[in-house]
This record gives sequence, C-alpha cells and structure tokens, in this order.
Amino acid sequence: MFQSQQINTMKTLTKPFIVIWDITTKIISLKMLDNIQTFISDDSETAEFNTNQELEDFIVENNLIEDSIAEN
Amino acid sequence: MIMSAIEKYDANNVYYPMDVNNCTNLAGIQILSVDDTVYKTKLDWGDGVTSNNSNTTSHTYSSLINKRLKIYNNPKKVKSLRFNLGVSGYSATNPTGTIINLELNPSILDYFPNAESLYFSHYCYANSDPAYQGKVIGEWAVKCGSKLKSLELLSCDYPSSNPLFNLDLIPSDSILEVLSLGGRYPAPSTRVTVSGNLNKIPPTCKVIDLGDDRASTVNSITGTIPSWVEEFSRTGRNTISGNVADLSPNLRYLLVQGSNTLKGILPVLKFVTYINVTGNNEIEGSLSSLGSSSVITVFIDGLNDISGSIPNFTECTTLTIRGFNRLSGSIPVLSKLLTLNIGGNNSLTDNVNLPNATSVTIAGNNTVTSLNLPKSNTVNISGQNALTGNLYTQISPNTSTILIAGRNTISTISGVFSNAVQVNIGGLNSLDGDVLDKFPNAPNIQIGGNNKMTYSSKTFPSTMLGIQLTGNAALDSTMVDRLLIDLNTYVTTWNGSKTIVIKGNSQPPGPLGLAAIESLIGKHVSISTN
Repeated sequence: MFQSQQINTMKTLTKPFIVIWDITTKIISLKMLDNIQTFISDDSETAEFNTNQELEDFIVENNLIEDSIAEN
Repeated sequence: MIMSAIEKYDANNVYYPMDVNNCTNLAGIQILSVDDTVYKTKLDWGDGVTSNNSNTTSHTYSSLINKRLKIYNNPKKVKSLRFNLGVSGYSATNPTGTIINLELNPSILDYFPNAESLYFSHYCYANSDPAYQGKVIGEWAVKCGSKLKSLELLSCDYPSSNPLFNLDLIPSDSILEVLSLGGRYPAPSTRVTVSGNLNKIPPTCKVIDLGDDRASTVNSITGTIPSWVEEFSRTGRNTISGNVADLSPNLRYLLVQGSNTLKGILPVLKFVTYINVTGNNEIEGSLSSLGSSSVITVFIDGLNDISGSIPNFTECTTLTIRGFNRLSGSIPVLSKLLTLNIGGNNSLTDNVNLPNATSVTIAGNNTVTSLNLPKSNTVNISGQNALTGNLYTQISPNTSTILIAGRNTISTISGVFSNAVQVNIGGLNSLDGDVLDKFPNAPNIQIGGNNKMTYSSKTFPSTMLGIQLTGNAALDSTMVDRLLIDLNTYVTTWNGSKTIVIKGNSQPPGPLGLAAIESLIGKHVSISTN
C-alpha cells in the first residue's frame, strides 16, 4: 500500500522587486526591494518585478495588505 | 417569576404577584417606601416563609419550586424597586443553582406610580435554555417622567428579553438623574437597545451609561454628548460627534467607543478620572487641562493633536494618545503608570523613568536618551529617539516584545531576554556579534539597521514565524549555512510569515545551506539570501 506525500518543488525569484503573500488573508509575508535570490515553494503566491512602481501597482490592484510589523 | 396585575387589597396594602418558576434561590430583592417605619413591605416567598423587606432580602428554597411570590406594600408609597438577581448558574446543557425567571416590563412603574428608582440585574451566561422563561421587554423611555429619578437596567439576560430605550421618547417633564443601561457582563443578550438623540436627555441627568450594542441590532444613536453630563459611557458602535470644548467642567468619566468624530480643544476638566474615546477623533489642546492628581486613565484614539508637556499625573495608570500629537519635554516619573502609548510627532526628551510600566510605545520625533523600565513587557521605541549603550540594563529581562528602531544607537545587550517573542531591532543600533543568542526563544526576529551581527550556532524554538537579518548583518557563507541548517533542524512548525531573510552584508549560502533551503521549502518557508 502506497502513501501519497506532498512534494513541494523549489523555484527562485531573481528580479529585484518581489512580494509574497498569503492567498487567504492577502497579508504580505515578504516584500523586498533589493532581492537577489529568494527560494520559494512553487505553489506559493508570489510576484516579481523590475521596478518598484510595478510592484506597488500590483499590491494596490490585488488589495494586498502590508503588515507594518513585518517590514524592516 | 411572572409579574401580572395587582390582584388583591389588604387594608392599604396590595400584593404584587410574581410567579417563581424552576427556582432554588432568590437574591437581592428590596422594595422601599417613602417611610419604611410606617409603610412596611412584606415578602411572601410562596413556600410559607415571609420576610420584612426594609433591607435587601434573599431567600433560598428547600427545593426547586414553582410558586407565587407576593410583595405586600402600599403601591403609592413605594419609592424604590430593586431586583438584583445576580447570576444564575449554568453547567453544560443543564441550568443549575439559582434560576430566576422574572418578567419585567415598564408597566411596573404604573403599578408603583411614585417610584423614584428602579434597578434590575440578572445574568445567565446568555444561554438559550428554555428553563429561562423570564424576560425584560418594552419601551422604558416613556416611563422616565416626573417621578422617576434613577433607572438602572444593568443586565437583562433572558433568551426572550428585548428591552428598548428610545431617547426621543423621554417625556419633556423628566427629572431623570441617573440612567444606566449598561450591562456589567459581556454577553450581548444582556443589553438594552438604545436609540434616539442624545440631546433629548434631560438637563437633570448627569450620570448616563448607555451600555453596549444589543446582539443583532443596528446602532442608531445620534446627537452630541450633553454639556451637563458628568459621567457618560456608551460602548459598541457609535458615530458620536461634537466639540469637546462643550463638555461639562465637572466631567468625571467619559467612555465612548466606536467610530466617533469628536473635535475641538480639550477644556479644563479638573475632576476627570477616566477618558476613553475611540474613533477618528481630532482633539487638540493640552493635557494640563486634566487634573494632575485625579486622572487615572487617558485613552484618546484617532487623529488627535495634543501638545504641550505630560503633567505629573500621579494617579494615572494608562496614558494612550494616538494621532499627530506634538507632546514635548521630559516625561515625569509616573510611578503608577502601567501603559504609555504616545503616537504622532512628539518631541519628548531625556530619560523615560516609569518604574511600574509594562507597555511602553513612543513614536514620533522624540529624543529619548535612556530608559528605566524595570517592569516592562512591551517596549516599542521608534522615531528619532537616541537610546544608547546597553539595552539589557534599561528594560526588564522579562520583556516579551522588543521593537527598537529610529535613531537609537544601542550598542550592547549584556544579558539574555529569555521571554522575548517578538524582536525587531533596526535603526542606527550597532549591535555586534551573535545577537540571536540574546533571544533564544523568540519565534519572530528581525534585525536590521546598522547592526553588524554574526552567527555561531543555536537551538531554535520548535515553532517559528520568521527571521529576517538585514542591514549590516555580516554572516559569512559558513555562518549562513549553519543558520539554515539549525533552522531546518530545530524548527518543526512554521506559522505566520514563514520567511527567512539573510541579507545585509552577508555572503550567499554554500552547498550545505542550499540543501537546508531545499528541505525548508518543503515546509513552505520562503528564503531570501544574497
């Protein structure tokens, strides 16, 4: 008898402006303006951009919520 | 107990019948007349026992009974009715202990036409068990005419209760002095549905507690807080507006929750002990308007612009002012203060010496230079503050939330904060070495700013939310790998942001670190590195 196991494969965000958020709450878990490489599960909710303006527009258009505590 | 019409005359006395259902105990009934030596009250409890009722009277039945209680008195001489029925016990699905069913409606004040006060309180944990057959119903405002001075419906907790109080229906000849419709218990089912305009409250009424929202109701209170009111509270959803300059100089207590929009300059309120106003208020003025030796709680939410210095509030335990405040000067040693939360563009200076404060948040352009917070649990210092030296000697070692940003230049943490759960140290702080060792149990750590930290090895908590090392963090590849391996080894559960950030001036991970990353990805952690 076989047991199924969830396998999460990895993908890498390499553009400088990235955002990762929770699909249910829409709360941003990570927003970076100086990204070099961010490793994530391929089923994570993410987006990456070349400019800050694109990133900010995306956040507004998708009603993502910024948690001030999470910022540094 | 179910009240019904007066049934019988005995000389000048009438007995007022109240059916007692499923009852084991009746607590706190008091019926007073204009002269209790002449117009005596007798309680016939229905089980053959009687009591004289010049004082608050209770009665315990030998078994659970269904009887009729009779209150004998001359109804025209009754001046005070008090039903303090306390709390009915409730366990699992069955009511236990005291079960008191009283049907109370405004017509009781027709039966006792000269009554000056009526008090009622009963709480049964908001349960819906059919054993609770009583109810408090009807529109009570219409009975607040030329006789009633005090109406207190503090907790009307029966499943079928629906008491109403429309301020607009208060008679024009009202002499009401005390109106308390506030439940002391949390269940929404205990509350009175209040509506109408606050300005219909008569000038004689100086003590007003309008309670909280009743369940499934829509708040419809309008108007402003009357200028003659000395104690006012209304929790729940409100949209109360008005100018605080119109508040009574004799104000002692003000509690207004909701989306209120109070504006104006804080007047002189030398007798006030409690101010708690939430919403989008825009209050200006100076805290020196408040009596320095009387005020205990100040909580002003919104977009306020309070300026001037913080007075020597010797009795104050809570001082929270949100908004765009411009408080300045040094903070006096407030030995009773437990919570200090000052938002805005303040320019507070010098030492913050609050020997008993547990929660301290200071934002703005403050230039605080040192702390003495030996009882702290939460410390949030941002803005332009200039804390220096050793953080460990300035706040309690038991502090759980440590947020130090701004222009602080903390350079040393000489001890371990074992209870820290939220750590965020940024700004111009210049911590060096293995900073993570100072917070061994914190599941959420962010260290940025000018801190030039390194890493050796550490046992992390089994559950974490995130760790972010930015700023001038200077981990070489070996340290980065070790950190990733330790996180992968010790943390079995990731919640919250589920993020690991190792950046700043740190080096990228090596092969061992990348292997740990692959494992962490399987736990849905996001990992950002150089």
